[in-house]
Amino acid sequence: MKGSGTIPTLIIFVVIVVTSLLVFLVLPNIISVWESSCDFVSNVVSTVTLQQVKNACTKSPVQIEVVIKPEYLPLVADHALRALLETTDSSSGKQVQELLAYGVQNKKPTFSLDGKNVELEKIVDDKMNSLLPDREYSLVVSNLFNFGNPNLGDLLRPASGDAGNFTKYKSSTTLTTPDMKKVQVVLFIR
Amino acid sequence: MKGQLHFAPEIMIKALGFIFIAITLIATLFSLQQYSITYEGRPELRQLIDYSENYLSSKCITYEDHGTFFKGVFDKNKLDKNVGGCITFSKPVTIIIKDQKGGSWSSRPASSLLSLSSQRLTYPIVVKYSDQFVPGIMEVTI
Repeated sequence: MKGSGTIPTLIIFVVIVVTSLLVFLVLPNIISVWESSCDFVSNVVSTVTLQQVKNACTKSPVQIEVVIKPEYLPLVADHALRALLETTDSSSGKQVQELLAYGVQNKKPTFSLDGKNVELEKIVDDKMNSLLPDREYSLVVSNLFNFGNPNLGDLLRPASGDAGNFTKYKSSTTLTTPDMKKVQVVLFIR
Repeated sequence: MKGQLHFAPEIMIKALGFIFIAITLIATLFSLQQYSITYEGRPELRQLIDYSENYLSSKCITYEDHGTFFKGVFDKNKLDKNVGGCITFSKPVTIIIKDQKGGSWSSRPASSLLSLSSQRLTYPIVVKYSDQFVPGIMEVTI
């Protein structure tokens, strides 16, 4: 029984291999020759050798092109956050980082300091308009205050595993309040 | 013995069949597809970022307090003297600094040296006046 099954198996094998070669190797090349805009198509086909076809029509039916574009990130969010905290509010004479720390301690975005009224949101907005004109921002201070566009943090959050790109739009640091508590400050920009 | 003679070639034929089919499939993939990898680097932008970061921490223009230089905080007096800073770059660079108080400084190369394909970056900065830190922007063009 084994001997009788050998010949059909061999025939099937040969048929499969030959068919596979025809279907997968020869046919796509013929199609690509037909489909490509090679000069050879318009010439007399009988004079063209196989080597000429190969040289003239190297276009494959499927072309995979990988383009690597490295992204260079100017760390604008880092510079903006540092600059914002350093700047001075002209009316109170205090730096923004000091005013934010006072605000966190009082848990109010509006308070009075040395007899002068301080509105944190207004001050931050004024400074950010000078630092990053024409750009949206969101400044989150210790989950107490959210100045600017409050939804920007959620909008910029990467969907899955794109944390590297997220650093372009986000920067964070810590502030120390007058009662020596450390609070986080996060800036999102777009 | 007969069984062994028949059995061995049948297995071998099947094995060879699989090998040929595998080779055919792999060869097909390569014949069907053409791979090309293109690297589109932007050296001018990368160099401009490097230059800008160096400029922001240049000792000639940054504010100093007890031996500490503040990156991104420019001393107004130093800007008035030398806005170009103390670092050199192989390409002509234009730097424009503007602050909230209306202060403006610029360093421009000769117009003939300006390249046609320009890259521009804007950084938030602070200018230190005698009594306060004023927000501003720095525009760097190559």
